[in-house]
Amino acid sequence: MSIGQLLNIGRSALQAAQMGLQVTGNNIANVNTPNYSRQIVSLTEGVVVSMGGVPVGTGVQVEGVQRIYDSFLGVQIRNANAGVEDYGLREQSYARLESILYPSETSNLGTLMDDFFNAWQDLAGNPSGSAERQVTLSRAEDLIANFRSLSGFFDEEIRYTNTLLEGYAEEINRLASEVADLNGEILRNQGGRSSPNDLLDRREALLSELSGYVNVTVFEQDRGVVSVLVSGGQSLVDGTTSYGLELVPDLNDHNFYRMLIRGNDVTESVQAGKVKGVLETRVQMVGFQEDVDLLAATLVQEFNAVHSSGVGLDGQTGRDFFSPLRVTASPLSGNQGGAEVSLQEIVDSSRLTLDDYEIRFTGPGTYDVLNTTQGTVVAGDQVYAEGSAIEFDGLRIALSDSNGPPVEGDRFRISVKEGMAQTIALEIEDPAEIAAAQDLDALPGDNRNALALADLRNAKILREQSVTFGGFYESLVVRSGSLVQDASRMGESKQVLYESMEAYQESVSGVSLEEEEIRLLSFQYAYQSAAKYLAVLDEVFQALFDW
Amino acid sequence: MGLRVSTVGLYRSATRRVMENVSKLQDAQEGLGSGKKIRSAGDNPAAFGRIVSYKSLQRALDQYQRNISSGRGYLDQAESSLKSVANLLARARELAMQGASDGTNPESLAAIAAEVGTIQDEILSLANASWSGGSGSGSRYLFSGYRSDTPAFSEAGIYQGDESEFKVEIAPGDWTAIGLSGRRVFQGDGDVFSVLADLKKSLEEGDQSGTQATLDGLDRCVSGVSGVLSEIGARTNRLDQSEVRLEDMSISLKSFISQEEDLDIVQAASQLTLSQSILEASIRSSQAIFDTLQIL
Repeated sequence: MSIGQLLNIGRSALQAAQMGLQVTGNNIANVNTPNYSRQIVSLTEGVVVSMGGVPVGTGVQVEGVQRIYDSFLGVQIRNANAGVEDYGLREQSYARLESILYPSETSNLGTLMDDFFNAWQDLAGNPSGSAERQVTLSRAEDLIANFRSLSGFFDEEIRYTNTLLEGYAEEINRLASEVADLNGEILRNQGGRSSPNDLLDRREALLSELSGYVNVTVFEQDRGVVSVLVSGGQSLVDGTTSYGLELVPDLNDHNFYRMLIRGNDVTESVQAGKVKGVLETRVQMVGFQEDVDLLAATLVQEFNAVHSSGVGLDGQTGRDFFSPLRVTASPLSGNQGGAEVSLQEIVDSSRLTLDDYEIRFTGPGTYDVLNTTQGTVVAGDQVYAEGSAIEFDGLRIALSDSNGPPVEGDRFRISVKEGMAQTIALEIEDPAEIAAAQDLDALPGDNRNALALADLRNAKILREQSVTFGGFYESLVVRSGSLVQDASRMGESKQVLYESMEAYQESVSGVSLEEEEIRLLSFQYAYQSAAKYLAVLDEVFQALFDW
Repeated sequence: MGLRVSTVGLYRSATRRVMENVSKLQDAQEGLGSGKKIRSAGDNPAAFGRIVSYKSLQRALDQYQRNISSGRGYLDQAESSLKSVANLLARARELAMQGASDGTNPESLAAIAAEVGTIQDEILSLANASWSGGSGSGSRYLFSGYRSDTPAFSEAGIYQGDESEFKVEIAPGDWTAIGLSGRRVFQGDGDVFSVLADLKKSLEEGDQSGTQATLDGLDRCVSGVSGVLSEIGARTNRLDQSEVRLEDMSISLKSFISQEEDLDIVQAASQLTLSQSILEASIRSSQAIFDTLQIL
């Protein structure tokens, strides 16, 4: 072997030891760096040459610096994280819902309804009493105020979901574009024996953050590039290109945002992440608002029916206690035709179902009347004539071709109960108008109508005559509690999963200072020994030269 | 966990365990502070639903008790009026006996007639008594039926009310008649006012046989009023019984509510102490690990 080769062995040893010290030092320095995966030097034996038929090694070769990372764990962590964020958001929203439905024992809708019915009992005990009459009105006011505040809460929450989605879409797009950029950088820095470990760590961090918003599948492509897909196969990131999430309001559904990637609607394919949490909670909030509206509308309907059959202190009958129900009919914003609603009225309040309806055009001159609450057809294949009355279930609607006739696919939504929790109001202003009596000749001590109104507390009308007003409210409270409990339990189990996956990842990729310190010692010795080797060589060659 | 423990992993797991124990401790504290094991629907939705439903029923029971009080107010007032009426009728009967006996001189007859006149006035005033009941707002005539703003009887003894007896709900679905109409009370078997008017007239005219004839009428009036007093007794009884039943239901409800809602204080206190010890132990063990690692 030549002097050069011998020296080379020493040099390679020094270099390897130096590299080892550097990498170990880097690990130690980055012990607390988030998302840092520890690195080790990959060493292989140098090329083996034949010296007179005998194979001899030529030292050590630094193959590269290897990043210790388990990408399978990465997948698990992202999935668990998506679940944690999803249920965390749901739990928060449902906790707000639960506490607005039942803020305290004394000031919740159920208690206020009980107090209201009790006022009618007290009134029955003293029908001519001005104090009892006044109290009945104020208890009604308290109840109305509570309905309105619930309605306001739901409106806020529903609006807020769109605001949240806007924020999330921005973040998702930012992260996707950063991942695409990193893909490009990684490509450029690929090659040779080095892989850009810091860039890989950074990309992992971004992908983790992304999964908090929406669950993604990550595919490794050639040369270190990854592509990121959302469920359903749409790409967020493809190589060095990122595709943005676009938000488009659904005009036929509360203007809720639909999410599109390159024109494809991916809203239904989101399975987890904060986005999923929002999509789920907005549906629930709408459901609760509809139920509270139904409660208010049914109360108004039943109460007015009995009240208007009674007689006030002035001998008048036919008075509503609450402002009467009204029907709202409107074309859906997505309609292509120009027809508008020209007439909407209640013609027979005793026939009202409080279900929601739709007039749906199946062709330019034909339409169906659908009961969207029950999912049934009320009247099919009706012939359309502008201005002519469409009557069903106590309602009368008419349409006019103000901006053109209706076309196939046009829909008109009709509802009596919609918004009732907001619009509910007292019709009676003067306590003397309260109809406690049944018979004009039996004033003022006749309390029979007051007794009948008080008895509405026990009337089973809602849910196909199976629950009382109080029972219906209780079921809403229980449902809100179940939603909180489910979200909390799922969140907890996802959290446990996340923590254990994170711990596994940490045990694979995390820096252990004790381990590194010991490794330092080993590289230190290696360096010292290599130096010693070179010193010995030096002495040996000196001897040769001095000869 | 894996076979390898990284530095961050060590800290993280120690922190997590400690924080979990802090959270459990806080939960125990909140429970003890409120005395309740279910504080919101999310804690236990089905049980919370039951609690809400029980409390609503409790409010209804309280209202029935109030209704009973109000009914009792009427009946007590009516009873007191009618007892006085019964006494006055008894006195009138004595006077009639006196007036119908032989040898009563005209001056005495005049005096007796005058006293009958006083009795007439008092009975009219008792028949037209009012009560305020409930909130004490407004007053109503006791014996006018639904026409509570009209005096029951005119000066001439004509009934001006109606025959209705107002009802009150004293238990779920139990509407019971409370009111009494003046016609039934004072003009049932015998008409108090016309009998007394006849008596006074006979005495003033010195009509001994006429006076004698009123005795029968007076007897019927007395037994009529006595009958109404029994009816009042029976009604009061119904109210009392309902009150007792409602009270029993209330006690059961309170115990159901307490079962669902209340924390077992003793158990919770010992759980709190346990949580404290666990927290302490987890903190100490974390410290021990880190102290040992310092050796390196």
